[in-house]
Amino acid sequence: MSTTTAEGSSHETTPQGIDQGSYESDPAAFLRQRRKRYGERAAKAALVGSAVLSVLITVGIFFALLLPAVDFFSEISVGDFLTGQRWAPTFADASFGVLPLVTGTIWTTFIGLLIAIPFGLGAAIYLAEYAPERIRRALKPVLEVLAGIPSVVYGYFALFFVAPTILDDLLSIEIGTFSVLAAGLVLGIMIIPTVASLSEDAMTAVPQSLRQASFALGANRMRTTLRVVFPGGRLGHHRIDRVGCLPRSRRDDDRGAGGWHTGADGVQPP
Amino acid sequence: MECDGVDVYYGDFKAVCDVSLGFGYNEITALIGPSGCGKSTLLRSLNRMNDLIPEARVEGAVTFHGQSIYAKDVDPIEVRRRIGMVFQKPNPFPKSIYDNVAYGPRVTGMKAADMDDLVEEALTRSALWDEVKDKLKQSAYGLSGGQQQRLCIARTIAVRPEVILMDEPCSALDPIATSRIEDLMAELRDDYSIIIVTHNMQQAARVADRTAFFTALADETTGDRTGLLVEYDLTNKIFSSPADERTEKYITGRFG
Repeated sequence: MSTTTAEGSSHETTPQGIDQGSYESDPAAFLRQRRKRYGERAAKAALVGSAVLSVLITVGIFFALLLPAVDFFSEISVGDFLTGQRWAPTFADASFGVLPLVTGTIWTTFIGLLIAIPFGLGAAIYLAEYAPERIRRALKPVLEVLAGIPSVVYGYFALFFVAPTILDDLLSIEIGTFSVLAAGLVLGIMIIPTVASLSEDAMTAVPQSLRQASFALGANRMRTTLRVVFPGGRLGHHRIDRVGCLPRSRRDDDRGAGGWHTGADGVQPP
Repeated sequence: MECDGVDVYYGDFKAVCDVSLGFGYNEITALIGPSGCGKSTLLRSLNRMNDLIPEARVEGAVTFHGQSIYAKDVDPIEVRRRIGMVFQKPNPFPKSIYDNVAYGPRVTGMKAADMDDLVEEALTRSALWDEVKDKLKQSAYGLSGGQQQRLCIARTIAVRPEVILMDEPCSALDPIATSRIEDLMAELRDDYSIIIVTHNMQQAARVADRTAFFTALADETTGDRTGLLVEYDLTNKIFSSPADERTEKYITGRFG
């Protein structure tokens, strides 16, 4: 670029208020005067701060758990903890076997998924593939509200309604107050909306062009759903396993459901 | 396959108005015209792909072997199996090359004595076999755009339709890939009837036996553009001595 053309164009394009003189006399030098842009730096610092904060909190939680755990294991041997079959930390005759909590978690999760996956995916398939747009738009927010109900509410539901009324009275299944069946059932019901909502997101994200291709080959809706939309949304389903079911169910176990079935009388219900 | 007085609506909006034309067996018919003249809409009404758009509605008769495909007792799934479609953008499934071709026969419950043979035949017919025979198990997404489009054609012919609808099949492809698809169409004509929508007049002139020229009429009050058929004839005739002035203007580049 020759100097003359640079000058010629700068007359027309440079906005007022910028020191044109220095640009025109030496464009290269002008371009080298890199401005500091403090606002940009401040914004970046604030964002880095937010990111670091969450990491710090996580690290803090880790240590807050680690230090008491070290104390704990200096009194109770790891072997007793892992293989003990009785969890009664608040009794005079305290016992710290974690096994019942572990098996309880596994059982409730298993029963919960047994319920949540078929019903959750069923609801998602209906919403994403079958429901008219109008119904979908009405139902999706309802689903998301349901997914937001605090798990404590579900805990009470399991403890005071599902276990005594439905399982005991109506179905005459003899169970204790802290039934793994009741906990699993309610856990399943609790995560249906989450499973459905996330699955629906994943399925809706599958491009319309793939559905069209499938229909144009003479596939019906169910075949299209099962063979194209479903595998296409698999990445999303994978996310559900991580984000939807497990943390939520584990969290709920932590709050009490896990203790129900164990006969651990010392554990308070949520 | 014939259209008689076909109107297509989206809700209250009339997208295509009163189209009547017949498509010949083992012929390539091109639908040309400026954007928004309803070519694609008409094409999609020929195998009931418009069913998937809730507001779309077809009036008039679209008949296939003398049977109206919109009659109540006609199964749209069977219609689409007989009248396949290739889309504007290549849209292979996120599956292997083999599974893409085998998809149609599998979901339509075709009794193939040997699926491997069927896949090979379809890929051979779509001039893709030599390029992919060593990587049938690899993802179709690893293919180039032109190869993907030929894969989509292979996928379509694997269910052995009678008619193949092509909606601007080359518009996302470079000239070399385009010419391969055009060669392919010329070969497929022996066994299939092909109806192609194209924006490319040279393409219509090169491949089509007959050409239908559409234009759009704007409603003076609402500004809605409705497509209508201007002229339908042998491609030679359309391009050498069009009967309608609007056709002549369009093909000589003075309009649209």
